[in-house]
This record gives sequence, structure tokens and C-alpha cells, in this order.
Amino acid sequence: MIDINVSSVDNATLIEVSGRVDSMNANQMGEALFKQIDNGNIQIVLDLAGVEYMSSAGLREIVSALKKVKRASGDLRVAQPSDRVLEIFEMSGLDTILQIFATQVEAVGSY
Amino acid sequence: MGVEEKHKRIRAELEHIETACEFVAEVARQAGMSDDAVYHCYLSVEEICTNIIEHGYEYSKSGEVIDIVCRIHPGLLQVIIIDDAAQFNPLGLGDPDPSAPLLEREGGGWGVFFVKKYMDSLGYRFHKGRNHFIMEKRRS
Repeated sequence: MIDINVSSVDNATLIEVSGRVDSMNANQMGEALFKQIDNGNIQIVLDLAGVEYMSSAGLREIVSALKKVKRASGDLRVAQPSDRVLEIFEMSGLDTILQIFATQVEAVGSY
Repeated sequence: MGVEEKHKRIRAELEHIETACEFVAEVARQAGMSDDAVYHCYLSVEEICTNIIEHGYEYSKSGEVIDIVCRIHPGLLQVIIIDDAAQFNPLGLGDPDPSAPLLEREGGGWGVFFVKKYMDSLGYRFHKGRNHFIMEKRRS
């Protein structure tokens, strides 16, 4: 089960996710990201501070959303991934494609 | 010291995967494995069961099942995931490329890749009409 909270902070759309992102619910995170992009909110910060677990299902949603937002000339930046989520990004090489920030303030301020 | 064996059967639907993951994680904890090793087993079970439901059973809801067998050996935990879908060896697929640029990424294909990274050895066999995916993780 995951919780998703969407808000606007300065120039960014902040999407805070918490819980366990797995094959059962990763599509919820993907839908939240796609909805913001469809609404023209293309400076997105995905805050993963509350995500203690993410499988490849979550990774797949992030890659899809990142492609979509890049096509719209925007970006999806990640804040505060846990060590385990960061490891997933690193193993898949996504850490070289995504901008990842240690704090939410830094991620929001990067826009 | 003998080998202790534990079994679990789940219905092959996404909402039941967590039950399989928790079952294997609890066996791993009881075997005295570290938090990291338990997490590696948990994620690996999720990835393999998800692949079976998505690609093997193609989300059919006709009562298909997945069987999970845990064997606690003196030095390692063996986790065998068994399904009745068409014969398929996930280890026969090539790995996705971590250096691929964004636009060349399909998004999928990472599950088995992570399992390869997290478990110590993997195997596959087709036995009595069932796919057996065999994972081993050292207990320490």
C-alpha cells in the first residue's frame, strides 16, 4: 500500500510517495506522475523519502514518466531515495539519467 | 544437520505476491539471515512471481497457483518457485543494459537482472510439466 501526496512548491510539482512500491501498486505512482505531466506540470520532484521498498515495477513507472516528461521538455527529479531504492537506481544505471538530490529543498530549488 | 523444508501455495494474482514474499522473508529470518539478505530474498520472490503472473499466466484468473518451497540447508537457503505456465527459462533472456540511454529503455526486464545481482546462485529446470526457478542465498 502506498500514499501519494501532490503539491506545488515554488516552481516545482512535488509528488511525495510513501510505503512499499511493488508490482501491486506501482501503477498508482505512475498514474500520479502521468496525470501531472498531462496537466502541463512538467517540473516534477518525486520525493521518495517514505519509500522503504521499491521493486522493478516502480522503476518501470519512473522510466515511463521520465520519457514522457522529457518529450514535453520538462524533467522528473528524485529526492531522498533510501539506500535500498538508490541501489536499485544504481544497478539499473538510472542514477546516471535521473537527477537525484539528497534533500527535498535541493530538488525543488534545482528548477 | 538435516535440511528443513517449508511450503507455501499462493493464487497466481498480484495481490497474493506479498504473502509469498512474507513467507520467504520469515523463513530467512528464522534461518538467522541478515536484514539485507532477507530483503534480497523478498525482492527476488516478488520479481519472479510477478514475471510468472504477467508473462507465464498472462493475468489469467482461472485458479492458477504458484508454489514456493524453501529448503534451509546448513549453509544456505534455497527458494524454489514453481508454476504451471508454458515452459520458460527466464535465465535464457539477455540482461538489460544499465548504460542504455533513456530513449532506448523499454522499462521492463530489470526484475530478473536484480534477482541475479541479489541471489548467490540461480537455476531453472522443467520437471513433471512445471517450471522450477531455483534461487540460493548464503545464510551468512
